Amino acid sequence: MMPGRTPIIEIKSLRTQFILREGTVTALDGIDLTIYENESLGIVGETGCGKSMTAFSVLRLVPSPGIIEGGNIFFKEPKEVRNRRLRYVADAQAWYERQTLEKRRELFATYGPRPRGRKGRVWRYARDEIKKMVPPDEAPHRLIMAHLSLIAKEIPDSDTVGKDAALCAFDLLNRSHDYMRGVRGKQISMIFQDPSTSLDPVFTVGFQLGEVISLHQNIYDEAALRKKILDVLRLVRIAAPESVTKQYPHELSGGMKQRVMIALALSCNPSLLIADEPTTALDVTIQAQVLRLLKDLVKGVGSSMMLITHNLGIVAETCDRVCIMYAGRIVEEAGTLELFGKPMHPYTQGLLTAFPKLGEQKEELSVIRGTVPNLMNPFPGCSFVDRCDFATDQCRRARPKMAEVAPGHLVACHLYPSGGEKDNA
Amino acid sequence: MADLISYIVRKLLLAIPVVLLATFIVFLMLHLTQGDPALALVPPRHTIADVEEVREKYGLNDPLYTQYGLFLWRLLHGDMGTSVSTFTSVSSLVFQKLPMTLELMAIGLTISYSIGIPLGILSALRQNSVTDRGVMVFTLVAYAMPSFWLGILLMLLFAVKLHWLPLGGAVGGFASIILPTVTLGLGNSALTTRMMRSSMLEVMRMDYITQLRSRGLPEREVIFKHGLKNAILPVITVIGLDIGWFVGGAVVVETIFSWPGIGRLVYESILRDDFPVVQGCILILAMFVVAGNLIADVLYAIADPRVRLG
Amino acid sequence: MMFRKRLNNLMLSWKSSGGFKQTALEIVSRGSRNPMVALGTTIIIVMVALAILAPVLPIADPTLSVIDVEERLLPPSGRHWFGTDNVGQDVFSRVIWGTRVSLTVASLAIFFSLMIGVTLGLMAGYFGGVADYIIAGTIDLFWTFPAFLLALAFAAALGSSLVNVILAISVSYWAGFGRLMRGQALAIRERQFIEASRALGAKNWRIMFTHVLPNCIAPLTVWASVGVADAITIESSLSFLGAGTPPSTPSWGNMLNLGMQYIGEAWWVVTFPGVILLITVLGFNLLGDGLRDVLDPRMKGMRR
Repeated sequence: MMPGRTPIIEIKSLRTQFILREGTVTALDGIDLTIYENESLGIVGETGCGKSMTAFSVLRLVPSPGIIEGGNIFFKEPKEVRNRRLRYVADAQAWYERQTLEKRRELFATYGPRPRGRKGRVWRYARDEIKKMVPPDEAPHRLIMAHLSLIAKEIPDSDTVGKDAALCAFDLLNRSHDYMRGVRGKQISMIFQDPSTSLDPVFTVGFQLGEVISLHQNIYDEAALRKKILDVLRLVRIAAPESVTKQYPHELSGGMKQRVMIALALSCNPSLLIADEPTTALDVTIQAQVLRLLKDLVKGVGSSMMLITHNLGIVAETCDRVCIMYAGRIVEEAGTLELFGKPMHPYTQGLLTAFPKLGEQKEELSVIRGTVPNLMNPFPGCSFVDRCDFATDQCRRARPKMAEVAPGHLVACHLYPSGGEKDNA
Repeated sequence: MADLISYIVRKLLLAIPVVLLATFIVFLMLHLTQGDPALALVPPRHTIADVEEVREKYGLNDPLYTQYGLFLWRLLHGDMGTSVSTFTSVSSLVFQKLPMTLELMAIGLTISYSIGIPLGILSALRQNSVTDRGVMVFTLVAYAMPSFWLGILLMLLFAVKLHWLPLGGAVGGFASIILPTVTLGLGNSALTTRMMRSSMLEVMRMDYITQLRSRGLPEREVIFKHGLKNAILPVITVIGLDIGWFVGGAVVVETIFSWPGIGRLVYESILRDDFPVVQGCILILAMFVVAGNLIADVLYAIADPRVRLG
Repeated sequence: MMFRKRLNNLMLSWKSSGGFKQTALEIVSRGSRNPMVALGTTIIIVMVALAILAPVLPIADPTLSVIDVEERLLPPSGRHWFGTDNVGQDVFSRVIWGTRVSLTVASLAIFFSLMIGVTLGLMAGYFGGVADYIIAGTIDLFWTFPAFLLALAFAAALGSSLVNVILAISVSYWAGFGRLMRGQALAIRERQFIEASRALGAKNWRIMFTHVLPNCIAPLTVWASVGVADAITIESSLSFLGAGTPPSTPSWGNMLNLGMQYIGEAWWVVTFPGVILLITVLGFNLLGDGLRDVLDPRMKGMRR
């Protein structure tokens, strides 16, 4: 939490799972993430670590058979509402800490993360399993939510902030589908990886742009709409916007298509732009151009950006802060310079050394041994344990909590204990 | 627009070899018959002089390519020979019956697509549900059912047992057209449904559909404005093949329901050994197929802008 | 000496590319788990058994063409399960004997179709260039033409006999196989071309033969199965129109043609042959469709 800065989006304990016949895959395992105004956050990780799933979860576009199992996504929450919510969260936490050990075990068993098995069936813990549990210090997320919803019913009308008096009113996961449609494309937009498959091939570029603009900005006058379309195409530095509007996606080059995508995404001045590997499918020469464009525009429009990539080089150039993800969990979070200068988590260190740098002399490329773990079976400890050179017994038993090792620099690793651990059954 | 026109011209040019192939096959038919080809072209009661006359007229003593040339030349002048049973010109017979068959095919096609497309979309949107499985079973059975048997069954049920609809012929006004067109339409609808379903399923999985959702478009628009327009493309491609199927089906259905079209003419001529008429009918039916394919290609180019370049 | 070495190399490459046995086993194991394949195969086995066993079954022999006026047009009963037709023959026996006709005609027709199509397709792929252009053009022409119409043209010209029907269908249906083989041949040729450019001629041909064919077994089986279904339909349609099997032979199409005349009085003559026809065609369709689902990833783009 950074004092003095307004968060645009605050993700808490987000869990996204895929319910398959064989079992349940946990794509996101309790993510905590915050993006502030006018900031670019990079999310880095290997394929399959859940980066794209974070983006889809925010927009609530998780494809079936995926579901968002739990958590909050607070979007543009006014300060007063937030402060009040935090007060009640603190109350709930305090109440939790006053309970006896047995009571806390029960609470954890009931309100802790629900393990799911085949076809999404929810498991219940057996009596003896509960007796062996070590409940965490922090109140389980769902318990806090239950507490909040109870309170919300009792808030007197005078103690309101605008019409949205409920405590979790700004939680996107609570909102209706219609509301989400208003958010998508207008307040939060997304750019996909491959521009060739992201545009509808049977409609012209102009048509698709016009669709989005008229939908969100209610401009139906032909002339005004056309003007807006041309403006936005000029914004992304497309040289001959009039002819491009009449063209079909297959007639454009990769770089042009990606610019059109960016135009689409920024046409309604969103507060948050999510870019999922925006340059991976492009030629190296075009990559630099597009990245620069992205960076300039985002600053110009005043949006925040969530840039998802596996390429640390891009992150170094474009992002203010970086988040490293592994197996559905966030393992490190810091400002860009800080992260590159002083990586703390063994995974981050491994990533940085694996990246060959200019001027460096190497005999072999260093790799991180092992492969990404199977996300189907819930694993009590740290997910990196099989590939970590510093692993201990503790790493196998307990999942590390995020600890602040320097201002604004958080790591989830037992090497940097925060004075407390989270034990999962 | 210009690229669309050049595309149409290209397709027209490509259709010419197909037309030539059809004429060649029809021409060849004469020489596949057993015995003396001249005998196929004379009426049942004939004299040796008649046979010789025919031999001269059609140049049957000349080499094959001369005969074929003669054949094509006659065709270009609209002469398809003379019927050996009615002694009228084949072309007049054929063109008289042409509108009836056209009517049948047009309505049949409409029925087929009116059933097939919505059913296919419904099935795709509710994949693996009870509706979907039901539709799949229906298409399997409808596809396996030969069109003539379906016609017979419908006739049995509606004309014989229930007496709701006439047994056949074209005189009953609206009622008489129902059974033949429904037979044709139902038979082909299975194919259309399957095609539509698989195409829709594939389209809905595409990246741009998710992208459209992420832009905030209402689901209704995503499915029907964008999804449908893309999904219908393979179905349009298949229109040409469908028309081919229909032409074959028309022959059979017209026979069953005594519908006075070209199909029925073919059947009767086969029975009567009236060879010139059989030739003429097959040729015209082949032209139907070619025309149908052309129309399908043009429709496809209108719908899918990617095709016009290549 | 050189030849033996080359042969050795070819055998090794054949084994490594899978070969017939591996593909066949794979198909069987995956297929047996699919309900459509199971049902289709059962139906086919039953029909084939009936066809083969027809002479020894305790049913009347329609080839003896006995006309029994007393037994004319009897409705289905204990003695005549499917009733009798207009000349007094037992419809049930005729239907069973009709199985022989339909299955024989269809399988032979598809077999020949396959031969023609595979040969032409491989040739197009192997020769390339002008030859490919011509063959591909021919394949396309025959492909856009409805097979039934072509078969009708040929059958009408050739006259009504079993051999002629088989011939007519073979010549009309081969385009599908041709397209398939040509596509595969071209794809392989693209890949092997660089290597083979050093050793032209025989080696190229052998490589295509040993690599292309095993890969094609799967889609060819699907097409063949569906093809038999189509061939049965075409044959019965032709017979129905009088251009197929001769009237003396008990074929389903013929029976339906005859039955049409008595549709008012004897519904059983047109119904039962049609039902059996439907089931048989359905069986082959199920097998083909089921197999296609089993082998799905490799068969995108097959029109159905």
